[in-house]
Amino acid sequence: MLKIEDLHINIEGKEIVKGINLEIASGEIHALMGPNGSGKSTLAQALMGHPTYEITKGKVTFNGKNLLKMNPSERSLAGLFLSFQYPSEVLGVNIANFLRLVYNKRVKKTLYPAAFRKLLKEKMEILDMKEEFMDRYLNEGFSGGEKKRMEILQMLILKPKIAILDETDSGLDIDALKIVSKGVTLLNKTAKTGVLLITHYTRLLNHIKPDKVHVMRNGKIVKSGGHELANELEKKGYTAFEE
Amino acid sequence: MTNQKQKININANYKTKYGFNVAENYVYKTEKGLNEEVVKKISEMKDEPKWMRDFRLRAYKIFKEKPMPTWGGDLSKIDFDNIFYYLKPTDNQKRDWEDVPIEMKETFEKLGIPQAERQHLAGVKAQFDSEVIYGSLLKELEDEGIIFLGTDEALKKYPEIFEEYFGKLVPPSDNKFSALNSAVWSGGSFVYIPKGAHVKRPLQAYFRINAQNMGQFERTLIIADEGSYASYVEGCSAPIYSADSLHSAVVEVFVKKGARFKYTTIQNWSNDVYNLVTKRAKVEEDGVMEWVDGNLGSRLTQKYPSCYLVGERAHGEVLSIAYGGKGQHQDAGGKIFHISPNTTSSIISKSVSAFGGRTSYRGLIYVSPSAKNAKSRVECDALILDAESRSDTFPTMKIDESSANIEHEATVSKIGEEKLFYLMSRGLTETEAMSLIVSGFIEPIVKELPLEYAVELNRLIELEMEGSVG
Amino acid sequence: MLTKLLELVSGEISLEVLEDTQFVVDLSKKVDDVSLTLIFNKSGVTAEIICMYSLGVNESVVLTTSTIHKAPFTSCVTYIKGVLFDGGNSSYTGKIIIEKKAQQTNSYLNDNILVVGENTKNNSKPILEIEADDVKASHGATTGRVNEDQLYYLESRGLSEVESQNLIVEGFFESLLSKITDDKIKNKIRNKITNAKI
Repeated sequence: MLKIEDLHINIEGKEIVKGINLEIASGEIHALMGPNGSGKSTLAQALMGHPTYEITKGKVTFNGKNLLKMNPSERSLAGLFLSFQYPSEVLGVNIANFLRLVYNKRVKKTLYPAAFRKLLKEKMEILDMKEEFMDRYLNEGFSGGEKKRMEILQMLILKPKIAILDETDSGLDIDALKIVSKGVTLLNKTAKTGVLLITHYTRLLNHIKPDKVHVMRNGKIVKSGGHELANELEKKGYTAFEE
Repeated sequence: MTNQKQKININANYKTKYGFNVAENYVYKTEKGLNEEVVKKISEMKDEPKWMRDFRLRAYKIFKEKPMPTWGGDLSKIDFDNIFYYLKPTDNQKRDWEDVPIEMKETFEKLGIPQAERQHLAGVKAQFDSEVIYGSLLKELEDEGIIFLGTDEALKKYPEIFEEYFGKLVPPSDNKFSALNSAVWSGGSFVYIPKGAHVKRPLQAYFRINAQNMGQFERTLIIADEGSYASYVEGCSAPIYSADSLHSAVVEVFVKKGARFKYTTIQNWSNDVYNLVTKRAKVEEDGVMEWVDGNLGSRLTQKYPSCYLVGERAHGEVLSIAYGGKGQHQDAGGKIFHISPNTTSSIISKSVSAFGGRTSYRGLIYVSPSAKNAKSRVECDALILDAESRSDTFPTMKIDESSANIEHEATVSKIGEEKLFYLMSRGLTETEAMSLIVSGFIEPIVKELPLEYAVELNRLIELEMEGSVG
Repeated sequence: MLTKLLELVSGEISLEVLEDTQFVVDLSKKVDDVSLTLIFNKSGVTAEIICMYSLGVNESVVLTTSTIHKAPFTSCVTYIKGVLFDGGNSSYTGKIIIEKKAQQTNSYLNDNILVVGENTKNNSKPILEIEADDVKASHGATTGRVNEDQLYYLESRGLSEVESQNLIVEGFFESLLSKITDDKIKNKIRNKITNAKI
């Protein structure tokens, strides 16, 4: 589904990601773990098409198509979703209206406001979100935790083929973590969404069970394995995994 | 306090400071008023090169042609014909200590001004006799390659540098008062900081009571060469007696690539003085210029320190405090011109008006086309302490470039009843509470001042507050 | 609060505020030096000035608003929001004048410009002239370009660049539109500024 081959990424002339190879098939859950500065978020943002990241080498194929040739909007419509580590506040944009707008861009059967609000309410209930959030402005005045939940809500509405979650667990208390995990697991099971969990804590993996775990250091993946790898990390820490 | 008649003390330093080579006992005084002859005489007395004499004469012509500005305070009472434009120091009008007003003496006492300084400030003693200190500190600077002299002397010693920079940033044609200054300037400081020099102590801190900086028409020229760091402080928060009713100074600062310069002024001229100053800095690539401007005295001050950000990533800042008390009008602010890409600036102005005084903030932020990604923030806050006083804000933002990010905020208010009550409920008197609140109000700027100025300034505020309640 | 729609094309309008009123200003694109002055002679009155505009190529606005407070206990808030597309040119002067007798006045001004296009010019002069001390007066003015991060965030949800820009512009005006209490006037203004989009 998503195939990354020898990807190199620069920011302002400095190489951050130094050759990543990764394949995520439909329905698979991968965890990408690494210390701060290892290049995890850079990878996530570059996959979504952030304008300041420069791809200097490599290939990314998404559903058979060349992902790198698409702009962020096209990547989203193609089925890629990124839950941002720091979601932007967009003042004055009503959440329900916004989500209906982007939902209708990718479905054959578009929904009128009333019907959409019903759908939105359903998804919000899964995430234990109060209905009045629907009419707030996009991320305006939201706490860190509320912003993360809003990202996951968007994910549930947009039903992507591949979802990248960039440090979604940071700043969440245990209850919020459980709810977010519930949403992700649900999507993975029912829609066969492939998931890339980016985190540096193993805590999240107790709630979302990954099929594969990768350790990233200094811009490269230094080891890949199954869930046991997460346990090893927990015991030994990142320094045990040199390049 | 002693009641002595003080003799004028002529010191050998006068020769170098005032830049003339005539015998000591020759007394020259220009007649009152200004005309071409006076300008020529001034240049002659100073034994200046021809180019400077011609510069003065051209400036005088411009001064005559320009009309008086009408947009600021009331300048109508300035009588140009009733001013001495050049006085040899021996003739500076001095007075007896007994003639010094009681309030002034009391202020000195309360502010803790050292004895010797009091007489000088009060206009009784002509010069602060600090030759010993002065000499050894100058030597320190010399060793680091720093040039720090009176402007008159610098013209003689470093003519090439002078010609290269003098009048280039503030030409005579700039405004009527810069034209006046250009015609009759005398005194001021010339500072050159060599490449890469980092000057730890602020310059001028040692020469706080320097007669040069109390001249009517001083002209200061500062060049901070590439990569240098330095700062300059002038003025005094204690009230200064001046026989002169017009102070029209010009300050030009050149901040070269990667250099940082901070220029701090605290003025507290007596209430009959018109203080009209043009201060301008040109900031090159990666350079930083900081103006810290404290206006406490004078009858009318019109001063808008400005920065021309001509190099990429240049940064300009103006921090301004103004106190407008009885019979005063402080018309101050700052101007920033963003000429190159990625430049940033900030202006913070805090003003307090009381006892019928008036403060006005006047400022300009200009972003020229192609000055991409300019960022600027202006904050002006005013406190009006009673119903007789007044505050105005006249900011302008002229943005000719689409990528600019500019913010401006201004507030005017009085001291809140709630705040006063809260502080008094903790045992402070009303005066103490008010001065605490006013001090807190100006704190962001006061913390940028050298310690002794900060201490004096705070004490001064206390004094003023006492007057407001008593 | 009563809502009044003022269609300004050119010239000066000076109004005395006799009852609590919300003045919604509709500017024609070819605005040529328009000035609106509100005078507060009557104590206890509150007013609002709401003005929104969208400028495209060769379109310009020259606008002055003044609120002159002559009597005590009055309050006024002026909100100006403008969006500049390519070549837009706006010049705004906003004066708040509080005379000595007008104690206990609250007067505020907010002037925000969102730049979307290139080759734009804008001047802003928010002025305060305050002679009374027991007052609250403030103004804020901002000029800024559409935020790149916001654009990218919306695009990452499937919107095209133009759609994202339009959404941000709509959002920019939304908080002010929602203040208009008369629905008919609100919709009229909404249509006017929405149709200015590229």
